Amino acid sequence: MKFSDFNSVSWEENGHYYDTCLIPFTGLTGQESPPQTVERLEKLRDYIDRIERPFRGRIVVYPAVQYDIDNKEQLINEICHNVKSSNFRYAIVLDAGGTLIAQDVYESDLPIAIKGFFDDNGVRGIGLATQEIQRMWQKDMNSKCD
Amino acid sequence: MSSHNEQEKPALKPSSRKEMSRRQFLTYTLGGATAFMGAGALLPMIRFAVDPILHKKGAGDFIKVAEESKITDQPQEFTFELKQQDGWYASTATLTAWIRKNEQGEIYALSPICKHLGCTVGWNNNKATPDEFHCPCHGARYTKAGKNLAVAPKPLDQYKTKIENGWVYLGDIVPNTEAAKEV
Repeated sequence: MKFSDFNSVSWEENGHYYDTCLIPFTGLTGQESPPQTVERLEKLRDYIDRIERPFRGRIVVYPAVQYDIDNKEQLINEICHNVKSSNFRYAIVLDAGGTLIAQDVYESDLPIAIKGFFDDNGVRGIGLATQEIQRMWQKDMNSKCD
Repeated sequence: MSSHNEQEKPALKPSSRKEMSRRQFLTYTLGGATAFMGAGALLPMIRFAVDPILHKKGAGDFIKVAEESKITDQPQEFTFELKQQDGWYASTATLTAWIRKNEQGEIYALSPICKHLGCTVGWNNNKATPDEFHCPCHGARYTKAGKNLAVAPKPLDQYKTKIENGWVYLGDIVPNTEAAKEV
């Protein structure tokens, strides 16, 4: 679900089921032409949709971090930390820019790089990403049981 | 006598013919022409504004999805595309159906959308609960026929199904009737 699909009543009612926040990182530099920017955003939207669709009842897609700035890791870490300290248990970062180093976004429970998913590897990439998300939830459940 | 004569003579009345003044004539003709032209310009705009309402709903359309011979008693996943019109926007949605043959040999297709909060269920995808549909989000479980066992409040919906020339066609999503047949 997108953050905008909720209102205060529906969030009050079902919010506790939505424990995972997905933060997209577009990775624009500002050097892209308007059509290139549109293409990037549309591709990212399609991939978000395909990754999020199987888990529509648990994942909430938040507004994206759009630009590839110098302190992007710090910014993303701060956002992940904030969403986890308020409404969510998990934060997933979806990296469409391909410039994030997984270890640097340490506040994210699961960084997913989708740059390699484009074109022919799309279906495989989506499959792997959805498996990773389930593994993240499963791992947490198992660690609670131990 | 005089009264008789008076009756025979038609009374002379002043002419009652109403003549239209030049001002009225101009008002009527110019007003009429303006209204006509205004309507000509407005009607297409009104028609465009309510356009989706004027179109017939494409309900009842069936889409060819799978060969009948490939359907077994185990649920199999099939994806297909549905062209849909959302207001002015036409788009293509990719849908999934789990199709199987029941004990009586009838073919039915279940929607994978969990009736709890809308995640996508899978068949036999949880080792702890084999031969069931399982929802990865909050652990909802369903039988082969889509009957809800845990978490979800209702059975999985199913598609309207039609068999023609050896192919399975799927139509609209409807409430589950298959779960009631399950022993």
